[in-house]
Amino acid sequence: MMNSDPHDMRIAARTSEYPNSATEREATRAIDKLVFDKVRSYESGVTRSADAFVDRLLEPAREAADIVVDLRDELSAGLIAHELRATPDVAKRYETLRRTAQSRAAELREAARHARWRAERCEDPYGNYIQLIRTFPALQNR
Amino acid sequence: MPDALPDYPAHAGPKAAERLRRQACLWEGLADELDAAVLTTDDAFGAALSLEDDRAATRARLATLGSSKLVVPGRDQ
Repeated sequence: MMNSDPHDMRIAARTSEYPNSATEREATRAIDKLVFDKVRSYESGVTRSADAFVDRLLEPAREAADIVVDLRDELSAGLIAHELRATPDVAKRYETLRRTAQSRAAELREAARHARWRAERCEDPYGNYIQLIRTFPALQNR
Repeated sequence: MPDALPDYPAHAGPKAAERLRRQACLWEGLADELDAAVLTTDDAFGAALSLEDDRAATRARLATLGSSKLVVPGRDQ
């Protein structure tokens, strides 16, 4: 069980006194493995969570792409080519699509911001794990 | 002086970060396309409604001309 800052433990292992170099090598390897196993577990967790996050947005993104096609290729093109007239039914359909489009656009922009935040967590799992443990020390024994 | 600490050998994290950033760009692009499609359709509606107004005005004018008596100078005076 680790009771101190994992990074500091690795440093301490290398500044401690040992009877011989073989013992020192063994001790530093053991501490590194202990810490790296924890970081590996954290890394697996954040990448699984990131994959699940992206998968959740697949359907909304597909719907957004469909709305673009409906607006651009059906309504807009139809009106410009005079194949569609600006009737109340057409206007109602447009109003529904427009509201959904604006809502989806806001949702996608928020998702993009969140994705970039998650990317920082994933990119440096060691640094982020150490920071997490320094903030919430009780987590390291989970 | 402690030896330099060996770096943690990152595994799936950096690849996940790359995927997330790629997705962020795709989503932002899609949001921009949605905004552009709304503006294009707004303009198309504007043009269509303007054409409808012109047609309505033209029909009204034609109706007025059609119902008025034709005055032939010299004959009807």
